[in-house]
Amino acid sequence: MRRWQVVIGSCFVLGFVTAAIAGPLVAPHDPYRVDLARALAPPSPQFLLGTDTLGRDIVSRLAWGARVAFVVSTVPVIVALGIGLAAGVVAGYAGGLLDYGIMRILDVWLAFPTILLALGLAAALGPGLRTALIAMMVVNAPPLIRLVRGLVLAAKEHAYVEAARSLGASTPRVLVRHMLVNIVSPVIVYTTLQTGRNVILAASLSFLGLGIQPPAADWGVMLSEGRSVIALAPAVATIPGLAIFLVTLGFNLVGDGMRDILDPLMRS
Amino acid sequence: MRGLRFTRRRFVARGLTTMAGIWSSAIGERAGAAPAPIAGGTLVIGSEGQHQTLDPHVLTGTVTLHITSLIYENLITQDMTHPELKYVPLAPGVAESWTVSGDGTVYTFRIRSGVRFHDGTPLDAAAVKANFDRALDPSSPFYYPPAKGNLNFIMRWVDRVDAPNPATFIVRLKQPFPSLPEELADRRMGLISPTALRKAGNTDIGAHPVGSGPFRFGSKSTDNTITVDRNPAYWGTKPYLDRIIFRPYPDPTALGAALQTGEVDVVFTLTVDQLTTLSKDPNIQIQYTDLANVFFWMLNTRNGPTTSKQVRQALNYAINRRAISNELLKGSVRPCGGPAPVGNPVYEPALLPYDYNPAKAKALLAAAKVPLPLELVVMLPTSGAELTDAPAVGTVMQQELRDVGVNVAFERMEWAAFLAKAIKGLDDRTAALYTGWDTGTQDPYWFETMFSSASAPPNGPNRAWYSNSMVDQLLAKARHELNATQRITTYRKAVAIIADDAPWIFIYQDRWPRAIRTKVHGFVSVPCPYVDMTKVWLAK
Repeated sequence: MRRWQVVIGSCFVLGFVTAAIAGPLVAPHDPYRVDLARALAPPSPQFLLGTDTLGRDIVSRLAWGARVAFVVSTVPVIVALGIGLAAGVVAGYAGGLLDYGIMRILDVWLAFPTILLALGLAAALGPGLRTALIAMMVVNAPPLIRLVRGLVLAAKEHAYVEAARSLGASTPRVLVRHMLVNIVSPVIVYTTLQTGRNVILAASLSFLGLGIQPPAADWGVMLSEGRSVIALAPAVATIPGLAIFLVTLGFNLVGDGMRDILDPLMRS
Repeated sequence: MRGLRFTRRRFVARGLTTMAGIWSSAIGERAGAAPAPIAGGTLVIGSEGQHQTLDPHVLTGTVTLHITSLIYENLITQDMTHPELKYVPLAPGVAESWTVSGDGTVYTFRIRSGVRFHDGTPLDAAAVKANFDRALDPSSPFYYPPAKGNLNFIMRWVDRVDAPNPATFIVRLKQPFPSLPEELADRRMGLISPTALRKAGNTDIGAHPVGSGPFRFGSKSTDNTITVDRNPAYWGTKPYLDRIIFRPYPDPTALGAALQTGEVDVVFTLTVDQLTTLSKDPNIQIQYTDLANVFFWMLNTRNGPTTSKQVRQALNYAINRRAISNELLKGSVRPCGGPAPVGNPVYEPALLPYDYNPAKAKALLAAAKVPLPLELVVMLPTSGAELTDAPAVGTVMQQELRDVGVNVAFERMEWAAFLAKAIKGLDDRTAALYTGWDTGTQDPYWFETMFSSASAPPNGPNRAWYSNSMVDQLLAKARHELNATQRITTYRKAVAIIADDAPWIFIYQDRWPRAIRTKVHGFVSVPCPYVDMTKVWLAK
C-alpha cells in the first residue's frame, strides 16, 4: 500500500523534474510570444492546451513555468536545510543559554505570518524572484531548526552517543558519524513535504503580485492572469492550478510514504 | 474640466430625457413606443471600492461624486438629455442665468429664487459666497485648506466674489477665463448649506451632508452603504425614484456577480470579462458613455533616449491600437492615436495621427541613430481600483515594442506606491509611466494642465517634463481667448504641435461601459460619467 503511494507520488515528482529540465527545450512555442489574433484559442494540434488571454501557448508557458516552480520550491528548502542543520545541531547539542537564545528568536520568527513577511520584503526589496526566494527561505528555516534541535536533543541521550563519547570520539565526530545519520530520515521526510508546500507558497506569492512578476511564465502568474477570464475560459486558470495540485500531491505522497517506510515504529 | 483624475474603466452616466422617444432610440433598446415612467421604487447602485466623505469640495474620483451630485447642486449644471450631441451642453442650475462683462473678467449670476437647502435654509447669493469663501478666503470662518487645494483649478483665476443682494452673485477674475461656466459645472463645485457647515464644521460636514439637490442624505450604515431619499421639496423636476442605495464592493468581480444576481441594478465599472459575460445576459444592457479620456505612457522628455522626438514618434507607430482595443479589450475602448479624444471640442481626426506602422517605427529609430535594442524602464501600476487592464496592455505593448527593437522593463507598482512616486515626476532612469485620465467635462483647458511646462511637478501633472515654448504660448493665449471659435482654433494649433512632438505614447480612449438591469429606465448615453437620476425610473 505504502509502496503504491510512493510510486505514484514519485511519478508526479519525476514528471515535474523532467518538465523542469527538458520542458523549455521541447516547448513548441515561445512562452512570451503575444499574438492577440489567436487569444483564447481552444486546444488544437498546434496549441495542445489552447492559448491564454494574450494568445500565448499554454503548454509552453506551463513547461517554462515548471522550471521556475522547481527552482523556487527546491532552492529555499535546500538553503533552509543547511541553516536548519547548523543551527539545530548547535542549539540541541550545546544546550544552555545558546539553545535558549536560538529558541526564543525562533518563537518570534515563527509568529510572523508568511504573507505578511513576504509583503514586507516585497516593499523593501521590490517584488520579484529574489524576494520570493528570500521570503521562502526565511519561512522554511525555523521549522527545520526546531525539528533538528528536537531530534538532536533526543539522540543526545541515547546510549550509543554516550558510548562513542566514552571511547574518546571528538564532538564533530559524534555529531556527524553518530547523530546526524540517525536523525536524517525525519529531516528528509520533512524537506520533501516542504518542497511540495513551497510550490503552493511560491504560486501564492506570484498570484498576489509579491513574487515572480508577469509576464514571466510562472504558474502563480498564469493563475492570476487566468482569473480575470475564469467565466469565459476556465481552462486558462485551471490548467496551471492543476499543475500546482499534481506536483504538491506528488511530493506529499512521496513524503508520507517515506515517513512510513523509514520510521520503524510505523512499520507494521 | 475635471482636474486631473487618473482612473480606469468605469463610470457612468446620466439618465434623462424629457422626451421619452429620444432615449429609447438613442440607447437602441426596445423598439416601439416608450413606456410611460412609473414613480416609486428603490434603485441599488454598486460602487467600486469604498465611499469617501460626502463633502464634494474635497473629493476626487467619480465613485463618491456620483452620490454627492444627487445631494448638492451647482450654479451651473449640465443638460444630459442630448445623446445626439458629441458633448454635454451647459444648463442653468442654481443660477438661472449669467452674464459676462466685455473684458471677460466679471461674471454676474442671477440666483434662482425660492431654492432651499434640505435643512430649510435659503440658498441665496450669500450661501453661494460662503461656499466660494471656503476655498478662497483665509479670513472666512468657512475657509478649509483641503478645499482650496482641490478646487484650485477654478479658484486660481478668481480674484474675489461678491453677493450684493440675495439674487446676485458676482465672480471677479484676475484675468479672462472663458472656461469658468464649464468648470462651475464640475461636480466638486456642489453648494453646501452654510448653516449645516457651521454646525458640523469643515471636517465633519461629509458625515452630515446638506445640499439642495433632488435627493437628500438618508443614512450611512456601518458597512459604508449610503442611501439617499427623494427630496419632496425640490424646486426642479422631482425624481421618480423614492430612494437610491449605493452599496460598496471591494472587488470588481463581486460587483459583476451582484449585478447578475439582481442584488444591484447598476454597475459603473466593468472588467473585460464581465463585459463579455454580461452582454449575453438578457436582463442586462450595456451602455457606453464615451466621455473624453486618454490612456497613455508619458515619455521622459528630459532624460534618456526618449528625449528624441523621432524615438517618441517611433514608439507611437509601434503600437497596434486596433488589436489592443478590439481583441484584448473587446471593444470597451477605442484606439486614440493622439492627445485629443472624441468628446473633447478640440477633437478632429487629423489630431490623432498615429496608427500601427512598425516599418515606419523602425525607420524612425534608425534615423534617430540610437543604439538598438533600446532599453526602457517603464512604471506600471498593477493594482487597486485604477487601470486594471494596464498589466495586460503593458505586456502586449512590450511585445510590440520588442518587435521594433525596443526592450521594455516594467517597474510594477501597486497603485498607492505608483501614485506616490509618479507625483514627483519621472526620475532620470525611468523612460515612461503608464496611466490614464478622464476630463469629466469637455473643456480643452485641461491641455494646459497636462502639457504646459509650468505644469511640471511639483506644480502639476506634467510628470514627464514635456516643454515646448510654442505650445506654452498657444495654450496661455487660448485660455484667455474670448471668441469661442478662435479659442478652439488656437487650441487645435497647440494640440497639433503636441501630437507631432509625441510626448506620450497615446494608446486608447476608454468607452466607459456601464451595465444596467433592463428594468431600469432613463439612463441616457452622453459623454459624462454622471447620471441625471431625476429621470430614472423602474419598471414593475
